[in-house]
Amino acid sequence: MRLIAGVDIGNSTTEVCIGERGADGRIVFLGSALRPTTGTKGTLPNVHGIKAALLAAVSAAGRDMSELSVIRINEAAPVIGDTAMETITETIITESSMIGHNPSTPAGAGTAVGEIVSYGRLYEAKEGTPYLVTVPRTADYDTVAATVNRMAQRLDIRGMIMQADEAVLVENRLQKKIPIIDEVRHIERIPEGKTAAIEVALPGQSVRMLSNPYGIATLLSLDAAATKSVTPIAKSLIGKRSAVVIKSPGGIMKENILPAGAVSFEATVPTTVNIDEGAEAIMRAMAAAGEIRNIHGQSATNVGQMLSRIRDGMAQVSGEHASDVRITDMLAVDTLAPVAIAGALAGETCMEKAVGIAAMVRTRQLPMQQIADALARDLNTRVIVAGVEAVMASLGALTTPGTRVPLAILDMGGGSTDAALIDENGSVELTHCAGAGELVSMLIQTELGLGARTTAEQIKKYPLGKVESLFHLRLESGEMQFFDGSIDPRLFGHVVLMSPEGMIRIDEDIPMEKIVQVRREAKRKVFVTNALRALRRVAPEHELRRIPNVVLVGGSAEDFEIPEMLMEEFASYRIVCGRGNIRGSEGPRNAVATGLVLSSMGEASV
Amino acid sequence: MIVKKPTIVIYTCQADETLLREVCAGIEEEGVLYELASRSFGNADALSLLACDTSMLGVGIGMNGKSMSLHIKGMNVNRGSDETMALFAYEAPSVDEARGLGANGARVIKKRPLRLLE
Repeated sequence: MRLIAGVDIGNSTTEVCIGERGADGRIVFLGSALRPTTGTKGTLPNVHGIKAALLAAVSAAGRDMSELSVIRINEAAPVIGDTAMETITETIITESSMIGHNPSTPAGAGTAVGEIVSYGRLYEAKEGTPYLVTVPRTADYDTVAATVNRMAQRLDIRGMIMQADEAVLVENRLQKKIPIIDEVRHIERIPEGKTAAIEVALPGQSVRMLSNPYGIATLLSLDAAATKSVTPIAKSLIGKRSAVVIKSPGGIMKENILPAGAVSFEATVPTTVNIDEGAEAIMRAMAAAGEIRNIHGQSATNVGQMLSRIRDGMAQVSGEHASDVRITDMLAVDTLAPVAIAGALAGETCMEKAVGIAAMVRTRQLPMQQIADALARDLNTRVIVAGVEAVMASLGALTTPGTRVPLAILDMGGGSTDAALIDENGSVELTHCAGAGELVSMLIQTELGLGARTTAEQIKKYPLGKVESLFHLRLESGEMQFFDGSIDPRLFGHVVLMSPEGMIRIDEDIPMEKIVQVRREAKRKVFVTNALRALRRVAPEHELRRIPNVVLVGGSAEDFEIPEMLMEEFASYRIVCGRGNIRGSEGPRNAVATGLVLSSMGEASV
Repeated sequence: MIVKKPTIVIYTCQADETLLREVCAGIEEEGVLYELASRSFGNADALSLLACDTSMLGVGIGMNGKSMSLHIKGMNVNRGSDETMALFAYEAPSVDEARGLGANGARVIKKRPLRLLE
């Protein structure tokens, strides 16, 4: 009795399955293992990952590597995916004219208008003019309060802008209460002598006057033309706890629309569409274009740069010339990205419109045979490159209890979403769509403005909780979890990810509800769109209702919410849809590797 | 009826005035109330333990000279152990550290992320 191994090399993981042919010719499965893919899929460095996974599976089954009689490697689909993101608008303030931020503890409430004067020059101020005082970090709060109290008998002081986090301390010591904004980092950039309006929102509310163009016009007495020009300021102050708007005659703030460019499809019906029209229009145009041979971006524009960046990256992987790399599918998604405003005073950002694109490149066959040869030399075993990935996945998926042909599989991986339909005669229809897990990570990272991609990947994988005391936390579902010993104080008050290894802190100060919303929206935009797109392509006569069963396989099928989203979506088409359970035990993983082992049944040579 | 204000309790023994002022400022800026009482003996750790037991909010600060410590009621070293540990303790803190200690004591109550000085 010799062992048969199936090896599936994916974009991010390498999976193996070990089986043994019994005396009656039936295959008994002994075990499986999963390891990260080493190097880019389809290249020689993959061998390390394969060997690690094989060793893990074989030893878990209590067998020895020398018992392997044949290793079957998947003929990986010759498609590689990549993602790119570009903002298509940008906000510029020349001569800084606003501050909008969320200090944790501003003081007082309401609005104030006055001429800006620095604390150091308060003695030069004139009677009868309303003033706003800027206070540098170096000033002590007791002294500031005492000085302002004394000066207020002579001067008309309406409000204060402070650099240090001391607004409450000063306000508590003032005789006449005024709104005070604090934690303004670049206080020295606030121009003296200009007229400004400040607003501190009531507790639990956000600014109302300064986030309204007519509110700004009222406070700073602007005419209709000027009111129009402050609209972007008002827009970017929405939701802030405190704000400052400075009226500087020469100062301009504008929203630039960058030349986003057009995408042209080299297809049955050649089509060109402008990126400005949004993701939906792009996807519609692409669907109407028919079979796509290549996709180009207009040169010297954002989209042109994005697509050529993807092309260069793919050329490196496949060893082809960049001009030979053909992009055959893409998924465009509308998104928002927080971008630091040029000339801001407290590190403000503005949500700019952006487009995220996942593109898929069809290359020549990947050099799987080279990998097979290297593996055969290393392990001294027969290694066969066998079968098309999607066919093997279908075979594996059919080991899910309760399935029968015709059956569609939806393989949601890291780089691409693949669909295959296997019918009663065993013939298989298959397709690859650009966009999957990696695009979701990228959307989460940009929309939440996260520093690290790893954080976005963790947010995608684990549910959230908020540490509300040193002994309990509230999960995103609203449930409470209590602890006997105290939680690490460094996690206190933070949003954390509930990973199986323990809690992971999210350093960025973003409300839990916002993260949940962005995460779910990103998954929906990518996976629901792509599932429908991919299944429509393989369905008989492109009619979704003619698919009775859909089995979800691949890494993203293990996600804690994507399968439920898809089930809800497919329910309206009367499709039975669910997470696969390969061999009744593996869950949605290992479909291809299992299919590879099963397919050896048909080959007498084993 | 016994009326007791929800306060952070600070017990001091010959505390450094400048640092004490910073601790209080940290709490005040966060909008939380505090109560000061001076004791004739006790190190910072022991004083803060006593203080957190008295505090209705369960947060106590102890100061002796320049050294200071912040305890939270019931915060144990290990699961099941009765031994408590200080959330923060400084031998001779800087002005910023003292302000931060006060602010963090208040933030624990307000369920806001702590300000951790790097």
